[in-house]
Amino acid sequence: MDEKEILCVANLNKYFGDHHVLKNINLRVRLGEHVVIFGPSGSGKSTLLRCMNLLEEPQSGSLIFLGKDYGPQAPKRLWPWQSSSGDLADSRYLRTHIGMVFQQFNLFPHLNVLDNVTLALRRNKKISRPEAEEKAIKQLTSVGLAIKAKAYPSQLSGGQQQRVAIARALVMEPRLMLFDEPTSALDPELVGEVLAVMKDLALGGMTMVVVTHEMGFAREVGDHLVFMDEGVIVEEGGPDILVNPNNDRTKLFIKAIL
Amino acid sequence: MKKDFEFHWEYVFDRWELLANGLRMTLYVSFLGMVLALALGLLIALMRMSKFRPFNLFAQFYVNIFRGIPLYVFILWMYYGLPLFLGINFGPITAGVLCLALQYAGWLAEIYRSGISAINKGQREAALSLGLTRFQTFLDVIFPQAFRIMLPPMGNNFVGMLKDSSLVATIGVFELARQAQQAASQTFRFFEFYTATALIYIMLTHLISQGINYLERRQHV
Repeated sequence: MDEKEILCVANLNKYFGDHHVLKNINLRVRLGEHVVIFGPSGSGKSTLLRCMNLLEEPQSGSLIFLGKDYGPQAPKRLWPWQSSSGDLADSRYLRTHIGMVFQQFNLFPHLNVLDNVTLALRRNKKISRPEAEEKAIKQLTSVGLAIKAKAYPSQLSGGQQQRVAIARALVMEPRLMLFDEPTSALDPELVGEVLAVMKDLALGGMTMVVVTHEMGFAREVGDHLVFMDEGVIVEEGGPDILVNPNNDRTKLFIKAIL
Repeated sequence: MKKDFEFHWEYVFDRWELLANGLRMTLYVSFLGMVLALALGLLIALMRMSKFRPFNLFAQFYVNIFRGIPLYVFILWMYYGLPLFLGINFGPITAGVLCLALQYAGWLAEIYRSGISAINKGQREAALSLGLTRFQTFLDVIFPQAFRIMLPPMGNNFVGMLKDSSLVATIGVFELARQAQQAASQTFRFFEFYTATALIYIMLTHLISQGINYLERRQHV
């Protein structure tokens, strides 16, 4: 195994009923790398991302995170009395170490910003409330929203909500961040503030996998670009594939969106 | 209106203690019934939403059975019928509370279910993606949001139970309706006693709706 490899998806297949959504996907994410996945809707890019933290369970293949397999063949930790440090794959362990940001933000509307950010810390990291809040404020400051700590999600703009959602994921100190079309639900004038936060994060060295239609962001931040269509990875490579794509399908898609 | 009818409210005022005792019993029976129904209803709802087929089928069966029995018949069955079959006797209060709780649990299960399934699946995904367990996800994220949706129909059910509790009078529980009946037939002031009783029920249900409104206003979202 590559020393710097964080996540490795190998021969992954996912079906929704008869529909073969992901066809034998292979993808490798290295430490500090920024992977950008793009492609037409229905190409399986979001599903692939959601397989990476097991919100969707693939039917076959392996998903290796920090050297341990979490794929469907791996023996799973199913009961609380089973050791969580042993060989058994524990999807909760995986999810605590992988942050995710959703297209629809998915903030908890009944909790204020601070409680949104501290909930998982307080529940699962055995951290006292003041300590958790200190961490949360630090994280909120980094996305420029510490002043909104006591506000409820419904009182924030879409861009602000998404920045809170990013802080909520970051406060868990994840090794890897997944972004599922984080700007697609935003009004155009709010896209910039979210992308700026993501760029900062990338510059800070965070390992990221981003599904997006923002080609400017892909070119600027992406180290490894992946073009998907109809459940397969059609083409991948450095940012130059946006300029000189090899595959006709990639060419057509890039021409259509630029 | 009959021309020579005379009101004699003093009969009611003289016997207010009977009504007060009845009211106490009504509150006891319906509160206890509601608490049990809320707990049992949640259990049934969770079984109904479970992927484990036997649970699911049992919950569907439960809801359909109790929806189909008139409460009056159920009370008679529980108090007069079941003891003959099982050989155990329930006191009238126990039988009455059980009937209310078992029947209302079916309605409440459906309310829980619709409240919980109204919550966007993104909420569950976000909670799980933060590493919360499924139980924590339910307790911290799903249920508090569903609760707000469930409050008004639950309030209606509580009002319903309060009024339905008058049916346990038929098996000899001395709650409000039964006390009124007795006082009325002793004094022949049927109009006065039943009017007073109706007013007490109206006040109670009004208080409950006010309470629910207050709880609703206190919720965020």
